[in-house]
Amino acid sequence: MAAQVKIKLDKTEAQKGDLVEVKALVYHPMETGLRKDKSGNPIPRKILNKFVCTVAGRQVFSADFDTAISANPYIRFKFKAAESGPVILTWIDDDGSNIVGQANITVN
Amino acid sequence: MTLTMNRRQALTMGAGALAASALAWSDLPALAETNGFEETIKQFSGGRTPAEGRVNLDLPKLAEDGGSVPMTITVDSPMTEESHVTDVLVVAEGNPRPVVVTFHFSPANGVAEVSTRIRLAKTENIIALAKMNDGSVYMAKKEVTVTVGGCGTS
Repeated sequence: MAAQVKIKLDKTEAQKGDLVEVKALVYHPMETGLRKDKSGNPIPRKILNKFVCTVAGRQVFSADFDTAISANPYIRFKFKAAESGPVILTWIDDDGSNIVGQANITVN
Repeated sequence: MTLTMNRRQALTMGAGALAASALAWSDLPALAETNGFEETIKQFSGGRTPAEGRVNLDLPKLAEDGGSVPMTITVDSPMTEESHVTDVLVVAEGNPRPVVVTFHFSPANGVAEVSTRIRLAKTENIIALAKMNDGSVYMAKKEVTVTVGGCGTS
């Protein structure tokens, strides 16, 4: 299966207190519900409506997306290096399914 | 002298009156249509008037593709337990729906900075509001000119 998520940390190893930048891209059409197909029938809304980032099990950042977030949602944000562990990014679809991606950070 | 009017005269008068009234109607300012963004802002701010400053909203002046407009928001805050941004709401005045996205920050972010890409239906104002842990709200507004709308309705 082709990768649905691309994650890039600007550093995989950091000193405690350093800022770590996260860039993430998830492949998803983010269907707004405003489009119509060739026959004129409305294409139903189906978007990723929530994004959550945890680092070493602690929630650091989250977002509520509406239909105006572009297709293949891109996000860039930072966190302060505190504890080594997984950086887990989760996107939640309108239909309740999740897309999850992971990177790792080592903190000295 | 009796006033008589033949049918032609009556029709001409009527047409004239109609044309005159059509002109007057188009002169009236367009009734403001809104997607409800003012109410959204009011709810987020808890009724307070947001202050200007502290929020940097970075958007291109001109977006050729309304379907993917890069946006970066930075809020001036130490992001300590004592003083930090809790939420950032982005509102689009001219989109079908007013809310674009809400970001939830914590001191663990270290900085209140985020980038993403958004859809704009047409040339419009985008407003970013930042709420602090003490309840104060700051805002920034930018106008983006859009050449091709991004809602995919065409």
